[in-house]
Amino acid sequence: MNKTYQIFISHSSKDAWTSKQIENHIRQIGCKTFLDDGNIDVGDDFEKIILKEIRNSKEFLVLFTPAAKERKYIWSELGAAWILKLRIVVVLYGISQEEVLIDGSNPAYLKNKQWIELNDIDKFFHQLKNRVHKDVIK
Amino acid sequence: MSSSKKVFISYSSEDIEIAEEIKKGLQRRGIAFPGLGSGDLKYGDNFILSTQRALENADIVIAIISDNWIKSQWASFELGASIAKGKKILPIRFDENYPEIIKRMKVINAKQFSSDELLDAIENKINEPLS
Repeated sequence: MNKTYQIFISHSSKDAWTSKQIENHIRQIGCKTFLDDGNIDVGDDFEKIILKEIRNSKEFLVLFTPAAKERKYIWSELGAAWILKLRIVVVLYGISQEEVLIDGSNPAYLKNKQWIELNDIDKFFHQLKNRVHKDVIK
Repeated sequence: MSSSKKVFISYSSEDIEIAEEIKKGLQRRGIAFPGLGSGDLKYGDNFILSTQRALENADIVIAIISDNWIKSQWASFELGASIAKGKKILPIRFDENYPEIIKRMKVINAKQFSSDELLDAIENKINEPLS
């Protein structure tokens, strides 16, 4: 098992069950995971816990749903993952790419990231498996 | 007094006038800006790269916290990026509300100052040694 290949999973507490399923799949591939508990909203935790775990991660998976899009914390986590140059995967459930990017401010940040529908997430698991395998050989 | 520190301003596009005013005021006082921040948006890759570079080159990030800012996803995004890069964050509050993520930080309340006094207060904060 590759203990060092960690995936950070960002989500809303309203999507806890779905996120847990994603986490289980990623663990079966042999990756470590960090699932933020979906509730923390205090400055201290962002710096002490969240940032540390983002730094320890190679990839950042965000589950966007109508609830998640409204959670400001997810956007701050995304910003941190972006500037720290993690691989970012955006998973959509019940919301479209256009709806996520509806805030006119600046959709450019996320345009060139990997977007995937939850129904197609097996594709991501497959690609992840290959990446982790290569990482082990290295 | 001039400062060698570089400043990045994070703001909602709806607050561009406030951001411009602060930027011009600080520039008159000799403070450098590698870029203005989220509001001066040009869609596309160049924009992303230049924002990323500006943010990375900045020593201090001024966040124009207003009801517009709180509504903006990208403002939260930039703040997360700034904290991750260990930047000194200088939140300036223009409305009553402010987000949880800055609760622990020292916030300047713009309503208490005239615009010159506000620039003085910001300049003083910028010139404090970085810890």
